[in-house]
Amino acid sequence: MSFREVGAYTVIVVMIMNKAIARTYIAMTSITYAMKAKSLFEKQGWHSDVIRTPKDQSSGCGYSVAVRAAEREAVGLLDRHGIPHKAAYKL
Amino acid sequence: MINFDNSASSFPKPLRVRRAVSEAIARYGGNPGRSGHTLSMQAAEKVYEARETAAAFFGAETENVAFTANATFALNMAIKGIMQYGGHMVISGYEHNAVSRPVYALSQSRGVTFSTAEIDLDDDRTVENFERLIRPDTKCICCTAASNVTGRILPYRKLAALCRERDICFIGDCSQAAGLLDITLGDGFDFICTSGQKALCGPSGTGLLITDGRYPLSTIIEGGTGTGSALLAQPDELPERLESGTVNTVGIIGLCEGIRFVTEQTPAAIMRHEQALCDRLIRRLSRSRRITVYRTEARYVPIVSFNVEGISSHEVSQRLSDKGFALRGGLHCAALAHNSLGTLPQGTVRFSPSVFNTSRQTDMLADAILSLS
Repeated sequence: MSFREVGAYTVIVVMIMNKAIARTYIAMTSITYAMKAKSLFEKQGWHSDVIRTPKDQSSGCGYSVAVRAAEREAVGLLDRHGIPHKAAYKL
Repeated sequence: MINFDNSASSFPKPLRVRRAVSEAIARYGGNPGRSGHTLSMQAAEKVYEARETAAAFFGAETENVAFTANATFALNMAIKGIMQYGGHMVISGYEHNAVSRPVYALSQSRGVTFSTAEIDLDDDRTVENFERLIRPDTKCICCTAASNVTGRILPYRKLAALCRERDICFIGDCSQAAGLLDITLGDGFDFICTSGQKALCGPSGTGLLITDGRYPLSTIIEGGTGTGSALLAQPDELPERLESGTVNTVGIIGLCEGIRFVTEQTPAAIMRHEQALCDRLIRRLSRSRRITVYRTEARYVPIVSFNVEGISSHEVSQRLSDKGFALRGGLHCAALAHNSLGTLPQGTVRFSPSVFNTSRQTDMLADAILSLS
């Protein structure tokens, strides 16, 4: 198998694994902390997006970060870096 | 017109700043931090990028960088946020009205008392002058890092150490120093207040309030922050607590590029270039006995204040304007500093070059000034 084939298979496997990992949604206390969380997750190689928190998850307007990582790992990382957040939730 | 009034507003701006502002007008028109739609989120990402850039430049946590309309807003927010329930504070005799007026206003409306420390030729004596004025009810020292009239650099690191020792807050007006000196929270400031449009090369209408987070601020402006909207109380979290209302997205994006430009050039290299132009001008002006240059052996940022005997500072700046040079005459919104300098009521003419000015331009200006004397 050539290097190019190995590389292609690796990319496919990573894509499948990423799809397999459910997204964790974490409500954040501000857009700035949501952006900071996204930046932190991206440094870990975890794809993430900042989204508007759905109305049924929020007492007012707010932002969440959706990250392709396990809830415990994602929340743990935020806590270790002192980034305040609200509850994690599923959609 | 050749601009030598860069300590008011630097001009021209670096090409990358002009491009960024143009792109911001064209592409980032959404309201950042207010919605979830793509336009809003794209603008929010650009604002966050600028916040990260400023945070790295000033050694702050990203969330502790608040964008303001200018340095005056930042200083009002810091001073009134700390002092609005009374107490005593110490300022220097070199302050801009952006410091002295809010302090005076607090003394009239909130019973705040204040003392003014004399700036000595010797930095250690200056620090002693501040120390002597500290009282049991002193809450903060607020002073400029460098005078906007003469460019004199104050011993801000020593003053910061004094504040830490006495457990009082230290607010720095870094408007003339940021972008020329390596100003960071590591110097000991609790609050760095600065404009964006001077040596940071950003657009007008931009400023920064940066904190180490040790002293929570009471707010002087409340309103929409895009978060916690169901609550009447202003959110506690920074930077939203200090950024009520829509921020200046276009200006912030431009400021981000200005800071990147300064970072790449380095403040030290910019300072060297501009200082060489100041030294060149001073050498030329010293040929005339009718010209007084307000410099001592102390350290200065690249500003030169001077007067031509027998002609008011306004008249000199007007005549220079007629010859194609922009310099500011008068009191520079700093009567306190001119009082300390002994240049009331006529003020001075102020020369403040930028990274884009040249030796040839400086020589042309020197010829024009000498022709007046």
